[in-house]
Amino acid sequence: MTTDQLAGLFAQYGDDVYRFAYSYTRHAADAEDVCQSVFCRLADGRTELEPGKEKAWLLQCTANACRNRFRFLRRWESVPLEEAEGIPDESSRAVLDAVLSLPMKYRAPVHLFYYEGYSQSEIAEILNLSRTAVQTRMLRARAMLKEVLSDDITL
Amino acid sequence: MISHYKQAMDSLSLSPEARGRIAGKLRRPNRLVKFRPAAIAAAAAALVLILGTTAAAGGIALHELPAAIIQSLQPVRLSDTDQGITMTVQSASAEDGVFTAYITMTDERGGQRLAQGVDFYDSYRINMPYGASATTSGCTPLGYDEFSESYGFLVNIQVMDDNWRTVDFSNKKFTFSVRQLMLGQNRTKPEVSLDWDDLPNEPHTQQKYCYGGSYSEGYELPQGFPGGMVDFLQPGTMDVPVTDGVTITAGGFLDSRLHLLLRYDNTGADDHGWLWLTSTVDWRADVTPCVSMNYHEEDGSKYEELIYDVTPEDLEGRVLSGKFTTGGYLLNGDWKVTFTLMDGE
Repeated sequence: MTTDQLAGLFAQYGDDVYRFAYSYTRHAADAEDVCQSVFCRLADGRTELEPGKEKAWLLQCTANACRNRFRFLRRWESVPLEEAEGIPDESSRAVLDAVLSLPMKYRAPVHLFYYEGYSQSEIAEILNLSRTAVQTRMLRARAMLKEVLSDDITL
Repeated sequence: MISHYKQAMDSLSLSPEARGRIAGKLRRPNRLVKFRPAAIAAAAAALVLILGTTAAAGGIALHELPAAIIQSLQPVRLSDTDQGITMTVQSASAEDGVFTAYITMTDERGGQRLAQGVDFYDSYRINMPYGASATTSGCTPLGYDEFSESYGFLVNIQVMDDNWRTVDFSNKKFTFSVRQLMLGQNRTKPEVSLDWDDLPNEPHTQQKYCYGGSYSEGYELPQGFPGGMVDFLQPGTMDVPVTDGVTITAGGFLDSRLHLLLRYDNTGADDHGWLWLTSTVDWRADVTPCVSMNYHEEDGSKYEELIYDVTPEDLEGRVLSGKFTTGGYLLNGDWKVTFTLMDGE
């Protein structure tokens, strides 16, 4: 992959990778670190991306990177959402707080479904889960969100 | 209508600084650089400048550290030397019952004792605050920095009381000590191809006393695990070298999960490693072990069984990638640094 191609992918998907990493880490600086490691892995030249599936690979790589880093940085579980500024309204803020308060294994499918718009089968591929596991996690995540969000707020 | 979650997420994006840093790295992939003496002198001068300007922001990092960690650390820079090796606590923090420190080790004899790698061998400690009775700790090696000739570590220690509740550090005075260093270990990243079709279903097992292991939450654990009699694969049905002193000695599917038994030939006091499944043909996610469990034999050899929640179909196109640390020798010493952190970090 050429330097220009890499720069193009970073320009196109850098924020998507960052947002997905943020949904895992809940911390801007950690998400930036993950984002850097994902694109640097691509830069080492050992990975050939399948045309049309670049974004899915980047998100799958992001999930792997987040899980690996999480082993060493347990404090991710208790980081306040201080960086999440500039959110347009209270309802959006409440939804983001609620989603990011979910246990880690529920946050990734919720993000991929509600933000990236992937189907449950595609999410299963990206996260290396069975489709049933994705369905179950989505169901539980929705139930947990319903408990903390008021009735007039939807995802 | 755009969902609330999407609206909130759209408001988050990479900072301009991070965007510039990453774009710069992508334009200049890492390369090995040989320094000439004049270049070293110039770089040293530049380093002094950097030291002066970044000290207030938590001290310099000679090794690659997560930005979030650097931001949370206070400069300490106190050292102790023993056995010709200097331990420096570069910076540290103590928040919510978690002590974090960035430590470097430097060989004063100018040799290459640390270049191959060094490990604290679980011999690092801090003084416990009042009311604490237990700790959980982790030590992440940061690698060897050629320029400063130092090896870096990121240490995390959480202290808890009898009821496993986190205890806060009311006194901000700390003593960090290390008693042993493991030197000269070989670190390898092997890749192993197995013929998955040859793996048996329901291979022979034997009961052994499991003395430890690890697992991911949400997976079914073997009966007796951990700390009891557990069914392990019968060794000797395979002989696939992984790295020096480590072989895959058995494998197969038990209860619909892939089991691999590794044998460590006791070449070092702290031989360890793991294998994960990675695809060489597509972008499927890596599969890491959901359970690992160990037992010892009287001849000193160690066995570790890795269990993967994966189907035979999903093994197609996958190889085993690994990280292993073997061999080496222990160096006893007494490295101790006492320092005080300011409140309101």
